[in-house]
Amino acid sequence: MVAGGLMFMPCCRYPEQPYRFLSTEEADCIIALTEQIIPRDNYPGATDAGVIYYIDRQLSSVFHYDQQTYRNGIRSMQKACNEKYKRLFQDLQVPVQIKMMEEMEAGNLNSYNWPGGNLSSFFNLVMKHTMQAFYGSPIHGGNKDYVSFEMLQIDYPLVIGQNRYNT
Amino acid sequence: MASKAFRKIVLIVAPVVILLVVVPGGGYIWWNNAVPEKTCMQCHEIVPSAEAWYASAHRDIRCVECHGTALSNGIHSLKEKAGMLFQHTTRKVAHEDIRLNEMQVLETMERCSNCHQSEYARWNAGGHAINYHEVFEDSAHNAMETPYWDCLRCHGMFYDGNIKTLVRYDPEMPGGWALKNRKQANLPTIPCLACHQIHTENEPVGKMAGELVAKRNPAVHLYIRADKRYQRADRLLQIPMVNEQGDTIEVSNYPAHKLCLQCHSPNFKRIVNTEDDRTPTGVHEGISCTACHEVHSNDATNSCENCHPAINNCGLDVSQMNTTYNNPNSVNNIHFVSCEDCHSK
Repeated sequence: MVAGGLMFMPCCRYPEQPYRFLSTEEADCIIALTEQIIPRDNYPGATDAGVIYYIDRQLSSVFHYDQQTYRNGIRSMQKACNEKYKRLFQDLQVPVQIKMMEEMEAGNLNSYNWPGGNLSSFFNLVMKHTMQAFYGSPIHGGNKDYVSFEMLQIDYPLVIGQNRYNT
Repeated sequence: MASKAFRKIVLIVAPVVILLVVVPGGGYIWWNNAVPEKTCMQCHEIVPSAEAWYASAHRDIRCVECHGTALSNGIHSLKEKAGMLFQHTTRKVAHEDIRLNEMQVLETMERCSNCHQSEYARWNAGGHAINYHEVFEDSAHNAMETPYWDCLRCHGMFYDGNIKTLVRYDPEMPGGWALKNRKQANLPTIPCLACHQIHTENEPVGKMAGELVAKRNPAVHLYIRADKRYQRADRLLQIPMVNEQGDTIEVSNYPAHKLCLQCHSPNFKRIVNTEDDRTPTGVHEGISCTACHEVHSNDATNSCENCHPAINNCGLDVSQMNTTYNNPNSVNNIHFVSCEDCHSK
């Protein structure tokens, strides 16, 4: 039985990787970034809504053309955080994270731009994807448990009766 | 000479038997009895489901008791489990990619009935055990409405195809429509999993007391076919309703009632008692469906007595009244009855 058990031991014992495109470190950075775009207050925030899963899933499929922007953007952002604060973005205090994001959005971190891209456009891209994830349909990977629909009191799924000929 | 040959045969056959029977057999037994961390949860895409199961009311039930084993359903289950292994090794499968197909949902339902026999029997005796034939080949209903994609929102939530793969126009049929696949005809359209999510945080019934009861999740969820996921019934929107005159009608905020309303829905103007809506008005305005209807069988027989005892101060015995909803001659229709209908003075 022991031998049988050993035979049936799964051969695939690679470390758990919850993301399709992003690495765990990259995902941690994006989670911190999106949580400051839609922070948790009386209602769930971006992390609660699973925004990271939307971004990761779309980057590995429909938004594959944004893959390099994410890779370069995260790398540049972390480099800027490291040089300025000696820490990764996700390890910074919230006020410092917000300050960094304001500088990114305003284009004050031009020295960290890369060929064909900059941190300002990267920030706007992440913000756009965050909004899509938070307010869109859960079928695309975000808006976990319909949290934004519940917050906005959106009538979903639409309650409507039959479609009879006489009505 | 013969014993030497026999020994040779034994030496050859024994390892083969061990290899073909003992090893897989032992592995199979071990696999079905080991803890999930050693088996199912080795596949990382299963982990979120397993974690939800650990937090659920079914945490004491092993995976195989609901999902079956590789041999629990003969070649069918062997093929199914082999398919899972193939997908796991050849594709980068994420947790959200994993869904039960209709056959798996129905097999799971049979296993629900092993423990929940009473609930299953009541469901089976009620209207929600309606099958595909009764829904989609109902000539009277088909004369009023063409089958369209949204029928599957409530009837056939787990159907693997769409309305075009389910029915075809057949002028020979009384209602004009027929199922394409006769094997579908007797399958239930509203199985247990339509209203119950298994992998969800909850406590077993009877194991909680006091203030913890208030923290218990509702036992009912809505399966939203369009998104292939569940929403907790208590988080569904309380639908604002009006009567024909436009006056606001109070609607129960009870989770089970909000769940009922998802399929027993009014027209787009949200006027009570239009289309499939059965929202009580009159004296019963604001109460939940489940105040009168048993949740699994939907039977409302003798439910009046719960609130209106035969011996009372007003001298009226509601059990003697015609309160039937289906009978158009019912003078005390339970869904619309008003105070004046019984109390003339």
